[in-house]
Amino acid sequence: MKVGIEIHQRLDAGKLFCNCPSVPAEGDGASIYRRQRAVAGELGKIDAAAAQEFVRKRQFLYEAPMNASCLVESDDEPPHDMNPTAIDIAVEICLLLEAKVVDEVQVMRKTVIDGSNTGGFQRTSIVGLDGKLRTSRGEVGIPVICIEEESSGILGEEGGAAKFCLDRLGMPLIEIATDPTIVDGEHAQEVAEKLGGILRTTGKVQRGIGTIRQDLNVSTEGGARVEIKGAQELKLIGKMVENEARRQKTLMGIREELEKRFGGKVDFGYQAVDLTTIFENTGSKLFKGAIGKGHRIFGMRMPKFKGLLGTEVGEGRRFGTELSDYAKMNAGVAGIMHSDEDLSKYGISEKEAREAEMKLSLE
Amino acid sequence: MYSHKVSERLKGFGITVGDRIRVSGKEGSLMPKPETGDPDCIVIKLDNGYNVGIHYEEGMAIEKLEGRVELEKLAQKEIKFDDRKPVVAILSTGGTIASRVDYRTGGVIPAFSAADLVSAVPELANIANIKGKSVMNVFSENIRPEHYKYMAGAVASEIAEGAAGVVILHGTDTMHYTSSMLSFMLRDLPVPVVILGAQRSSDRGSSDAAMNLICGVNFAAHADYSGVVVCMHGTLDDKFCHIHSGTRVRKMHTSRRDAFKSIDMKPIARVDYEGGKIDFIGEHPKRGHLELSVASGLESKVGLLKVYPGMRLEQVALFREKGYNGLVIEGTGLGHMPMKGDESSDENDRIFNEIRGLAESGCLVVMTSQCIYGNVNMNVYGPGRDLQKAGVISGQGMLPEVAYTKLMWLLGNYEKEKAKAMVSQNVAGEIVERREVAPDFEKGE
Ligand SMILES: [Zn+2]
Repeated sequence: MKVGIEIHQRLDAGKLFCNCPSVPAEGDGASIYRRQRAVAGELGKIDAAAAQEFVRKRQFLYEAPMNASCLVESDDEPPHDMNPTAIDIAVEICLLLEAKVVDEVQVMRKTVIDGSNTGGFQRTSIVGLDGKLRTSRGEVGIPVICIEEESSGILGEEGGAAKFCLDRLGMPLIEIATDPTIVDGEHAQEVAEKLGGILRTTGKVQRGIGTIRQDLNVSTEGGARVEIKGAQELKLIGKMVENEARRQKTLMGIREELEKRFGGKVDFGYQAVDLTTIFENTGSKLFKGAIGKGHRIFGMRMPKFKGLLGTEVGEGRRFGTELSDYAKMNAGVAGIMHSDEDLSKYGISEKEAREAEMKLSLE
Repeated sequence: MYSHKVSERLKGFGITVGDRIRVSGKEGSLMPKPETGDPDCIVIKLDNGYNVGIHYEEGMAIEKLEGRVELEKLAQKEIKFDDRKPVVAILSTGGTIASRVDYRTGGVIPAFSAADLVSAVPELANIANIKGKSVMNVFSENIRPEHYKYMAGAVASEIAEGAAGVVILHGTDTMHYTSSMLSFMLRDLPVPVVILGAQRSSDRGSSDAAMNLICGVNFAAHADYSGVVVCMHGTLDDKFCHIHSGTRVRKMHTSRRDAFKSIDMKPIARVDYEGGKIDFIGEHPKRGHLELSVASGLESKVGLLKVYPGMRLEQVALFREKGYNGLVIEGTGLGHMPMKGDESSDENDRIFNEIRGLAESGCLVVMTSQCIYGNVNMNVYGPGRDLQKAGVISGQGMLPEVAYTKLMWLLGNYEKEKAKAMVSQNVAGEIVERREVAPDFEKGE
């Protein structure tokens, strides 16, 4: 197993590119309506035209509290020079992590198209390189230490626009990324705690909920590299890593089993069949509601999968749940149910289940 | 576009854009040439994703290799002429208000041609048939009298060719100088001429460039208006632009996107970003069948002088010494300046005498106010009357920058006596006849 940790910690200093204090919104402010467009640099490998289309539809509302934001945050004034206090703290952390401090801090732009930054990008700068952390299981490398600006926090949706508050935007963050040499959950826990300790000993980092954020990269042999974003509870990091490792191991077991059953590559045609007519007079509230809204119900025959969809891949999480999450995210499907489950709990009658089975195997 | 010799050479090897080639020891895919840049420079995308330009030399070895990248999706938007839509000419003068993403290279290039502009802001094609032209390429702070002549000439020829309106892309710093100067130079203008720019650079997703451009092109194409205007964000929101009179507009903020304000009057109109609705705010001149003429004479020996407490004689003396024909004074309050000394110093007396001497030498000296808002009145206090007696002409509440461009233009096109008389006559809406009682004068409301 290989694990890497990325920590974002808010520094106890004023904002990075203006003279606003890093404090929560209080009192009056302005409300600003903005649109954003796609520009170069953010397209990467995404089809440029599609990205442009996506951005064109985006509308954003920004609350600009007077006590905690200025024209810099609203993107109506160029950024000031970088806050020297924030740089000092970052340099101190670099030295504690035995990193080489760069000769000159270069500001780069990371494109952000979700509106959380009024300018359409986040500014980030490398402060230190090639640091290390000594642990009970050997040295863990810290290739890069960056200082960057916090994004604005989302407040919700309003009239089709995503609404943000500018109080958080521009607060200074230090980003510490380890290389993937952490060996297991316990080790990850140790690294996270040690890094947290080093940050706190400076006495110059913000404390409290939301001021530190950990992202984990977990990869197991033969499995995928999975990123777990936004772990806020330090105590749970070891457990999260172990759970992820177990999940990947179980999924690999399922793959092996399927390959055995299929005698090689898993391929069953992936044919979706419209089953809506079977459920036209259903007693299932779930289906009735969906059909009433004009939704449709589809089925797919998955030969040789019997017994696998119920396999537990994590606490309270089955292989079926895993597939369901993918379907929801990538295809906009409302949910998945399968024949390894007790279908009566959805109010589906045995007759309906048999009809569906027949239709799927006949097609 | 690559130059003829480069294109021919590539064609000779059977190489088309996207093909993998080797030039001068570098391997990569041939990229198309953006319309800007050295046409003799071959651009290839290396395997690490970076583009490099290799200058083509006669006889250079070019080798076609196996493989190519598909660039079809990345082609530039083709513009079709739609005869139900009016023609709008977009003249660029420099800066990068409408940079566009070059899909094929991932780089940002300034948009100058119509195809570039429409690729950067596709909505433009729905508003009008766009004609694009680069008139010059200077930052607005570097503009000199000759540049005003290029712009006026370019506008006149686009109108002669049938444009329903003209848009000028301009740096914002001196946009209000240009808008007033063109207001004077373009006589009997039959259509709208819209000057616009961007306060926030167009390499950021949040730039104000696209909205200003969309609203400005819309106004140029469809508004029943004639005259030179400025079109910029009305507020901090991406909701609507204000259309300002070319002679009553001023940049009032260094960086906000709503930096341009109509001074001592309401904006002429408001143009919605979404939906494109144009609402006129008051009376305004309509489109007409006028015969446009360009009064292009400009006197360059005109100065603009801000006065201040503690000022010294030598700053004033320069104008008579160097033979200036016009001077706009940015005075204090209602139109005053240092003119009377006391026992501590008689420098102010000398300054006043110098101004009197300058006026007597035949230089037109015009008084405006550094207050920006409000009228000039040199009859209220004794010093103002003394200045008038000394030959200083009231600027009638003209904005200092506008009085400056007007004086350059008057002295370039009329005899001195005529020019002097015209200083206080309204030529292009530069003189506000009455100022309404607005509770908040900065908003005009
Ligand atoms: Zn600020």
